[in-house]
Amino acid sequence: MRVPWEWLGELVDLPESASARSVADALTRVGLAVESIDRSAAPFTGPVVIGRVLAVEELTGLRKPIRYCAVDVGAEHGGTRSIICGAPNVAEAAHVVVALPGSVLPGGVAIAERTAYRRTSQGMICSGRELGVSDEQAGILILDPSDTPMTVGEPAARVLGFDDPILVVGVTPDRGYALSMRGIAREVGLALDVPFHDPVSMLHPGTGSTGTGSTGTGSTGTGSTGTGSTGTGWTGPADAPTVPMAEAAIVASATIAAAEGADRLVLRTLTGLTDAASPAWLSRRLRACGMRSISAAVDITNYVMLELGQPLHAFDRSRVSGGLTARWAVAGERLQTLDGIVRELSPADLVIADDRGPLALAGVMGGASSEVTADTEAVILEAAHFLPVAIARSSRRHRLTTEASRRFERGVDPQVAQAASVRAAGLLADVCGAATVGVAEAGVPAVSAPIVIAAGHPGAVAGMPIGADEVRSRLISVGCAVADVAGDGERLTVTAPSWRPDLSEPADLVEEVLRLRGYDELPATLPVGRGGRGFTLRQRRRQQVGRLLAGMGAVEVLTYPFTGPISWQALGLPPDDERRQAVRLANPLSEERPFLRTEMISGLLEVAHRNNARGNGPAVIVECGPVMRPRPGMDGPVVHPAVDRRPTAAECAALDALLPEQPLHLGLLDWSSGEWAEPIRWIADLAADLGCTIAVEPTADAPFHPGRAALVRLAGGQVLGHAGQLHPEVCAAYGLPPASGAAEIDLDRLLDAATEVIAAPLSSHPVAKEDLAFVVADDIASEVVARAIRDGVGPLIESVTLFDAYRGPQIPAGLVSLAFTLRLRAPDRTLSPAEIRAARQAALDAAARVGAQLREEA
Amino acid sequence: MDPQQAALLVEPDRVAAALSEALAAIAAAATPPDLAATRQLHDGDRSPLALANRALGSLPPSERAAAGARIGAARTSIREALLAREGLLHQQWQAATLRAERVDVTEALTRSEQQRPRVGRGGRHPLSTIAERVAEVFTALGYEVAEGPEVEAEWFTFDALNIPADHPARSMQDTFFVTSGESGVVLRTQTSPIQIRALLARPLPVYVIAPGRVYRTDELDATHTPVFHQVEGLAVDRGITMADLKGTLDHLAQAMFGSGLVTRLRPSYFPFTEPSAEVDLQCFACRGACLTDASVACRTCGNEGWIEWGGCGMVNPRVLRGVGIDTDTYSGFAFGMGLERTLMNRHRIVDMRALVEGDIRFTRQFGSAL
Repeated sequence: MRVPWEWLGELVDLPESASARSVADALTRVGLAVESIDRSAAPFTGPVVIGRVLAVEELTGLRKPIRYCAVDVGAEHGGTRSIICGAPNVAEAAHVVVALPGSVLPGGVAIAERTAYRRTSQGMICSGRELGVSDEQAGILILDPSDTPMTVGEPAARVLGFDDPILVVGVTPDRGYALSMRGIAREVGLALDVPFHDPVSMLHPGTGSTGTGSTGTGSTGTGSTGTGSTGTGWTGPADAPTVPMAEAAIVASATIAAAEGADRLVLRTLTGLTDAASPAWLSRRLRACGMRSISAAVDITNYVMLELGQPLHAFDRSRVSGGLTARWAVAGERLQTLDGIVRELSPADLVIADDRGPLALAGVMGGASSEVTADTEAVILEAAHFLPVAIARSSRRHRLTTEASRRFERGVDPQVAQAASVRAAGLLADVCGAATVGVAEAGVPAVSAPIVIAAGHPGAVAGMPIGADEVRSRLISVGCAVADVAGDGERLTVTAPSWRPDLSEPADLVEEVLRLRGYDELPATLPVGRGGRGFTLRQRRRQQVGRLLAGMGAVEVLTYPFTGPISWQALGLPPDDERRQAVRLANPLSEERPFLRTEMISGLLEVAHRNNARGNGPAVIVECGPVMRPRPGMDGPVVHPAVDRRPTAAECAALDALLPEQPLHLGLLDWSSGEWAEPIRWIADLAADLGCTIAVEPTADAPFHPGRAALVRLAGGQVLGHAGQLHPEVCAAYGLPPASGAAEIDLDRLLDAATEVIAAPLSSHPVAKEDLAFVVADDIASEVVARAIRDGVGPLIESVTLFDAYRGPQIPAGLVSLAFTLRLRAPDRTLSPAEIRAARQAALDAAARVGAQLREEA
Repeated sequence: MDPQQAALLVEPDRVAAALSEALAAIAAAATPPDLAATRQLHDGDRSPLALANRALGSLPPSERAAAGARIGAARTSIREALLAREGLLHQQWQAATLRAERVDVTEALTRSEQQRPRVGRGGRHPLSTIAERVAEVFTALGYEVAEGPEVEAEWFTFDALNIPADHPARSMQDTFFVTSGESGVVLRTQTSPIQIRALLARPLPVYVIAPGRVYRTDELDATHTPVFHQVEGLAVDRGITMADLKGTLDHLAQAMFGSGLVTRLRPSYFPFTEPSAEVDLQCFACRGACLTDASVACRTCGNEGWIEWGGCGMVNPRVLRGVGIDTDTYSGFAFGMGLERTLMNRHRIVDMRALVEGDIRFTRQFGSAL
């Protein structure tokens, strides 16, 4: 909401000392955050000043009337200037806006001294359109010094309303009332503790014209006086012109046929409308509030909306058949809205319709067929109260957010419709000469239910004493009616004002009391939880993994989990790979990456590529995070548990069943070592730190080198993931060294398998080492031989480690020489030579059983 | 060239022979070097068809078109065959190479590890470490760390937090929706759904802290990222007050930014808290001096004296009732703040992209703890 300073000053008695900054701070403290203070920038530059016409000379003998004017533009601009002007309304003594040479008007129009009709023109007298202040171009803009004080020669920007401070208030969705000057001014009054003048009570309602049907009283039949108390067109209904009863036949009737969508409909029929431009004060305020001036009739509906928060709509009476009804649309109905779009209506759309069909999308936008035009002579002015949900739904369905829909969604004062209608009628009478011929209304808006609150509750919530008197007075100050339940001041019955539909529970009232008291006054106390057990074992292990990897030299990265077929292609995933089954976003940021990641490696490859491009690295990078995998049944029916009670276990399970699996994965990318075994060793070390051992077996799965990568299992056989060298084409696709490696494991599974350490007894007796070399078929894994040796030797074996693997000319093709170091040790004694010999023999026998023969030393 | 000799070179039989000879040679090429030689021989500058092509100019004009078409077609066929063979040989060569490179993967585990390569210094992402740091501050206060899924049911993300469908607050946050609008599943826009999960899963009183990753449909720029991190705090107990909330936020501010700092609460609106407030952090650089001393120009807070930090409030009784908690007996507070903002302030990180891009130089600055 944009709040022009001069307008605000009309509704609140701002102290002399108040500045835009100080008011902004005060508003922010009570919960209306002022996001910025604008100054309306003029759409023109250079010397554009106020002038006064001294003399007008009619030039004759020309094809069109031309006038040569002497204009006083002030001593500082050279005194009297001579200016050629074609406008018919230029007149002596008129205050006008003069663009002097050197100024630039909207559209880049540069003003310079020029000669025409054998006379020199030293500037230009401007129309409203030329200045960008209105669409008026029939004549020059004539200013009224009694409307806005001005002096000749001063920059026109101020007079045209271009340098007034504008508070830009961020209105939260609960405070619909603050989308109006009325609501903001009330808050400023509260924040500064100064009087607020409610524009609704300034209307003096209660005369005959606020009743139903036509007024028919006090006909004056003349134009308006235009002398409202504030100089901005305040005209109560008693001053408004009315017309004789005979014309009442055209008064539109009001019907509500959708009680769940609308509870108030006030229709005012006015005739005698003439097409007029908005007065300067009105278009200036609209402009300051960010709205364009269109025509007086439309501007007035917008103005009253800004002033009172009540959206209004004017229908051209001659294009409406019969009365107007608020009803639900019927399937198949269509409506062309004012933005030119033809909309298919649904039975959930609330419309305003006449005998023939929908004329407006209620509370959102009017229709083209009944739009007010320059020719309109009679209008039906609609002021209604629609229920927030109905308007929100239509607005969302039609992807159409308007000033009206924003207000209705957030809650419009249901009692303000009549006042807004009267207010608009007064302005229409003043500006357009329109007269009310009748008012019809329907519906009685619901009144707020009283809330019972303990007077001590606000203080109890705050954690500081707040007296009952203070609670009472603060609630009254926001407009609540407050009564004692039992007369003892202990419990209060509070009725919220009509403009505060957000106040429905004691907690809402607590906020009102506390925000006006000031959050700054809250004391600070520090509660502590009882029996907290610190991080869980699993959380500690997560931290352990992070620290271990960093300690081992890996750099942690965090990538976006968005992916797409391009990445899967680059990884070489086959068409039926399960990692191509992914959760799709309805509104992705990039059409190339509409899916959630199912693997970690492609994200790491992109980061590695970026680092390479910046000359960083080589390095090892890691990321821990969830991957998302569709779960069967996640597209089942959506459950909507009620929110006024605890959901049942079955409801919670049904909600969780909608979600994909989101296991925690660990991805690692090594473009540093150039060794295929490194990623496997990283995983082995990580597992060992968590008390787990892993086993590996060859795999040809993408994105890995088919001969240099392993499927990694936990010792129990459960698959953990993959590790090894990447496929050379994957490395090439991301510009990485050809022997770069990667690993990806299901970290959840590893953490699940992590065990508490049971300390092994350590022998202090000497170790016996035996080196044995075997020749074995090339396709027998070293692990097979090592395991056979371990199993064959039994408890005395401490470790079996490969220290050499040789394939080459010194042994037959198809065979490999594997040299192991055996470490032998007993817990309770030094091994005897005989025991060592026996162990050695057992190792040889066991190796032989898997086809490994002791290699004869060369 | 002598026209007769030229005519001889472009004879149909001769062209056909050159073509079939070339195709046979291409098919016979067994290795990439073989194929390169074949290409030179049959598609090079001195190949029969290249010579024939050059002879075209010496032919009588009436014969040129037909001869040219004949030679062109043959050369196209040869080039296509070369390309196909090249692809096949590359595949075969790669398959053979990959086969030849095959290793015994179990050696990665059976071998002794004496000569592991050095990979340089590691580092943890500062967002991970700051999340741990915040969690540590709160576990010291008796809180426990709660978690929840990033892809979350709309019900937990909105409905249970007092944000009904069609409420304008739903559009306060730009939400990523999963598949169609009717999946009931979103990428969580905040860590607050963890509050609901914690209150459903844990016995009262509940004191939890919940760091996590959240999503909103913002494009990445210097101050926004569609994927970011929050930390959520929740305390529900008998007699929890807003003063408790204020004291807890002050404590966090001091733990993260230095002793003596305080926070400021400004009234605001969140559907799941009532009363609600924005949390501002006293500027840790100038400590508000810029407000009272005109000679102090503070770049950290932009001369505001305060830095926007997060949102908070007393848990809305509707939310508590929705998880079956008796609001006559229990009350609670909740707060949430962006970890990116916290980190950027704490370490003078000026561009959000540094946290997103994964530049190893950035992360290595932070080592393995904050």
